Amino acid sequence: MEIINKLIDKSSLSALIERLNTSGKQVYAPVTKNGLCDFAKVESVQEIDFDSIATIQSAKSLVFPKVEKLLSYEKTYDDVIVKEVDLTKIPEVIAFAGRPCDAAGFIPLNAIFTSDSVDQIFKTRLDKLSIISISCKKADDFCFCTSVNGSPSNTSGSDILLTEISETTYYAEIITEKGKAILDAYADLFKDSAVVDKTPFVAKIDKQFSTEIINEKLKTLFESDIWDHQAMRCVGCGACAFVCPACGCFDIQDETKGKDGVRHRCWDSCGFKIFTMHTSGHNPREKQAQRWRQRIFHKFSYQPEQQQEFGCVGCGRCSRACPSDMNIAEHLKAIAVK
Amino acid sequence: MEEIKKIAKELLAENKVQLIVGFEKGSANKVRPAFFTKPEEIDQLIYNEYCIHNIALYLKKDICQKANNLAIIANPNVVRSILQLASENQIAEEKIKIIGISFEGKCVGLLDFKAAEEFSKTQPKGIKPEDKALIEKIQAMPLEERFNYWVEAFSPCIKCYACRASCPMCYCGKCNVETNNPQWIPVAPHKYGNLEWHMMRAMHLAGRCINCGECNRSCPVNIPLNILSYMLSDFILDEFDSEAGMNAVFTPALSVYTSVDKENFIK
Amino acid sequence: MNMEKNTIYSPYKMKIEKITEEAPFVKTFRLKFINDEDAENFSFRTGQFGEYSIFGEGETTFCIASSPTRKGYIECTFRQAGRVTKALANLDEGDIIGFRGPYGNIFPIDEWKGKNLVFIAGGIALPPMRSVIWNCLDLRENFKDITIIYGARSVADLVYKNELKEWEGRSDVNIVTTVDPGGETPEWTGKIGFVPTVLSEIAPSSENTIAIVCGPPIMIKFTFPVLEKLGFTDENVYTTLENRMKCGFGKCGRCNVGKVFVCKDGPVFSLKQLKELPAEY
Repeated sequence: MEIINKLIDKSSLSALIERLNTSGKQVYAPVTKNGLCDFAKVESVQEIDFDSIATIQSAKSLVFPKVEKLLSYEKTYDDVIVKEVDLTKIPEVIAFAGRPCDAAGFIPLNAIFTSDSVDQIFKTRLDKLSIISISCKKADDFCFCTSVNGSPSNTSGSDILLTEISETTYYAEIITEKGKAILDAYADLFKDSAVVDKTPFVAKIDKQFSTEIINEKLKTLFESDIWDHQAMRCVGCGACAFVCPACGCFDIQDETKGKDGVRHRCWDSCGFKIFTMHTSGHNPREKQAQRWRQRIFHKFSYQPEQQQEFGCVGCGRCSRACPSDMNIAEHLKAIAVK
Repeated sequence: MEEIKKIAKELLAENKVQLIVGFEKGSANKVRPAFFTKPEEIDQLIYNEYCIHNIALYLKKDICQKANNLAIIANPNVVRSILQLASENQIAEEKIKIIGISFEGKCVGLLDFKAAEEFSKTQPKGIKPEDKALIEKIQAMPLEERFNYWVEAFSPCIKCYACRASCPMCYCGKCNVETNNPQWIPVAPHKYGNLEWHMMRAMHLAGRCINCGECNRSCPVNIPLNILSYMLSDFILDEFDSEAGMNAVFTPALSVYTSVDKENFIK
Repeated sequence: MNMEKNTIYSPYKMKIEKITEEAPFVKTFRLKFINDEDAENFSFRTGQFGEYSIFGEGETTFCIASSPTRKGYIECTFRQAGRVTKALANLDEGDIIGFRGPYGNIFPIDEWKGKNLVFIAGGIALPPMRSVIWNCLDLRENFKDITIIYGARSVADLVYKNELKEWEGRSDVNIVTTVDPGGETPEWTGKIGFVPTVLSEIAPSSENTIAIVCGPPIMIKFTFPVLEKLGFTDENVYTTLENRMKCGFGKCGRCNVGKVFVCKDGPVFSLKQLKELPAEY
């Protein structure tokens, strides 16, 4: 669909949030609580933190929550009753005021969950999600979206992208049919507009490398000592993977209470030692350096080959969250010049 | 700073150690753990007020395990961790040289375990006023409210295990949460999965935690795990007159029974 | 009641029809679909695997050890090791378990028509091989000589003892069984020695021959060079990988090795394909 150009007054956002809520949709937006900014359910525009560079966690939990029920079961004396997930109960959700990198993150995640075979739970959640993002006015030292095919005003992944062009006004790009449905429902809040050059209104983020260079370099770097070197201070936690908008690895676990139980999936990480460990104790990726290498190869070599998507959107969340300051952009830059 | 560098450089130049664990400049205004093996690399070594990570963590990681001998830039938390690790037979005195740094950031030179014990006693605990205030607030809560406070506090946990991975005392080859036969702790990061995980971890650290606060600093969702540890440490000091990280030979309170132990919990 | 599964995680319910004790801690389950329509709609090909579950304990991955030519049931053989397999071992005939599958690729037996086949297996790795062996024996006319070399640590550890006897009795199968030195009993009439050694003694011709190798990593490591010496090219040697898995369809990320997922692109690989992957298995 061709992008529709509109304007929306800042003062109209309050009405938009309220009306989305009254229409039965759940609105999630960045909210700062106890000094931490993360996506949370909001009912009014006052709750939203428009100022944060990026939330601590990505928006992925809206489609890939940290715990997701896959099925439930009830054990009887001589049988098991398996109850499937009722996909019709999955709510309609609006991801509001996230960043273009949040929106872009849904693309590689979608590739993982729907290419080859379709994960219906994920797909239903994504189908019922509309994404209204806001271009970045600011960036920090960890942002590197421009090095991984993104930008502070990138439209891909968003249904509507808002860019602040004055004290009072957002330029609104209506990008998809889902975006158009929102426009149509609340047409009175939007005004017509010509195409606006967003460049003067968004952050400038220098390009440090390209995904093509990383992809090319990785072809010869599997056995390099760079992995040992880079992973030396890695403590082996899963913070990077869990805050990453594009990491989709998971575990499946049963939990029973009495005769009832639930089988659910929860986030997992290739950085954990036990991720690949066999029951026998044999571990194909024994060392942290091998696991760090897997993380980089998966995002920049395997995933592009398997699913034609790079698994990194340059949001920098992993680097901000890392307890030992593993800075992915810095490490990728080192790979690019290796 | 210059003195730290001088000592570090000499240790490497004179082949007294193979490896020095310290800090270098990190991203933005951060500092990061760094590993030095050649005297000329020491120019990159830094020490400033941001160097608060408990790098004693690395003593149990491959990089330090492989070194025959090493030195570590040790603020009071690192010193206490080393003493605690030594008391648990995890590190031998002949393998490690401690470059001591006081609470104020002053280099106190090389410390053997005896000197480290003395040093440790002179250094204040790094407990912040706001932490104290929170502890008092929690202690004033009736039991049920306190329980609910913690259930709520743990609920944002995503089970990334950064707390465990950053803790020098969490060196178990296989964490209890990784055993599944039986499954003691639910894997999923839901309300009770989180509660059980953090209670289990707190109990395993009770009497061993040296209260460096790294668990809280490393937590991406900022759960006040350090507060839980402080409270347990206080309790153990009160009940058993036992304090972790003060002696290289030490038996954690919860590992022994003595006839003078209070038995007032038996009702 | 037949319900279209609304998610890919929903298992079929299967009843344990028969349990066979194969070796210490090793059992074979014969499983039947509870729902007749599921049974009718289900089909698989040799080499594929499934996720077997005990509700409350979780899922575990095994190959389907029966041949697709034997209709109406599937079989799996497992050794008690982890949480789920231990719970499985405690089940009785008539109990119900979950099954998702079939997943993964297949042994390309259509391409093997008119060739000699050498099956080389060690220990508990005979099950993935048993499916393809029976599949080939049930289509015996499609193949030339069929040789089976099977070894285990001890006589007690040999699985499918009745079938081994049956194969020994067949004139159209050349079977050699062996046990590791020290694993023999006074009655043992087979060979004594490690599988790679026995393979080099027997020295099957590589001419117009496909070799299929399944076994513990150490056996595989020493078997490949022997095959190479015998003149087998990498395209004509097949094996299966057993990386840790959860989902079975290339999403959970666990079995990712290089550009493949073992669950989706494997578990069957030719040695040629294997050599193109990083050695993370």
